Amino acid sequence: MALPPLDSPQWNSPWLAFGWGLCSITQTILTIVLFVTYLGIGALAHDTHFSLIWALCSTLFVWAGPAQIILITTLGSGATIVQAAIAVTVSAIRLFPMVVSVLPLMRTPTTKRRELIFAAHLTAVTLWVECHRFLPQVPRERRIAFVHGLGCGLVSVCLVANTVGYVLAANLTQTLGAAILLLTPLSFLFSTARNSREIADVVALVLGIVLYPVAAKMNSGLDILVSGVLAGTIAYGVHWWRQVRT
Amino acid sequence: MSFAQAVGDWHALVVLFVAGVIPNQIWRMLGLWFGGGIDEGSELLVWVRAVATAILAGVIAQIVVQPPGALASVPDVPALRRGRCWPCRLPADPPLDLCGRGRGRGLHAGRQVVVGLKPPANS
Repeated sequence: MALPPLDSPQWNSPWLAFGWGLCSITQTILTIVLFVTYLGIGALAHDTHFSLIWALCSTLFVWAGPAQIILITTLGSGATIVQAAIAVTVSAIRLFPMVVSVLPLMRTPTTKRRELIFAAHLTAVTLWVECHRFLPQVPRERRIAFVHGLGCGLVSVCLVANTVGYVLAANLTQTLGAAILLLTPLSFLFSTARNSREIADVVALVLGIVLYPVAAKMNSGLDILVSGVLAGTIAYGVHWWRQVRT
Repeated sequence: MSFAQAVGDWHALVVLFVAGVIPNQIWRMLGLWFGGGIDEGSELLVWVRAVATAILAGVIAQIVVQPPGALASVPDVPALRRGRCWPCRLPADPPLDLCGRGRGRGLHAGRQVVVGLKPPANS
């Protein structure tokens, strides 16, 4: 299933654009990765004695895999609300530059900010990656509807996965559960790597991975922010230097 | 599963919102507020995207370096845990000796084969 061409009458209705977004979840391997990741989160929530509704609410309202894993594990290990909130806040910093870089793709000169709120909520790594891939094939005035469709489709898949994982948890061995949890960093790595077309992205990805363990040695609590801003700035410097040279 | 069981206690849901939902939505809404005025082709956006990628890379590294939950419970390779050479299984220090026979002999003896594992002391 390919998206219709940009000038097709298929794009005239926002509802149809929503539908195309919904169908586009079948066009990416990341949907399967998300399904398995959220299977793991469901199982993790069960093992740490959270309720099913709690797990579903976290998927619906938090909608960020690592934040959910961090939240469940920190709360499950007896940390205070404040400690958990700080850990989640630090991990969620990445959402800020993601939203900043993805929203201009779907904005038109007449778009009001409140029309973008739901799209901002749906922004997480999968949507971020897929927006950069799909949106060039979508007419600009239908992009918000398309993203809403894509995001709703992905959230629905994850809610189903949560429920299945929660119910299956009793039958999941710990090693298998661990294997599923390892999928989160793997899927992040592969989806980001696939999204890295420019030299700045590649340098940022490699340096980000290398610098984190170094920054973690400082034990400042802001390790991810420090290594991320540093690696990102160096990567931008490389990009700038190459531009100046040519 | 009854309805009450599925919902659990309301206290946990409040904690979810305070410690989970708000910390995430703050960043998204800041991004919405801040990203409203940036041009799609601007250089600032290249930097922002590089930082987003690098922070994401940091999250990947964090999950591997400080694994959460069940991931942290994955047992080591048993032979490594018992202080035996891999692959010949003779007693060795360090465990991953690659047939240095624990005393610095053999093909790989004395090489630091894996970052973080010291070469045999007398090599």
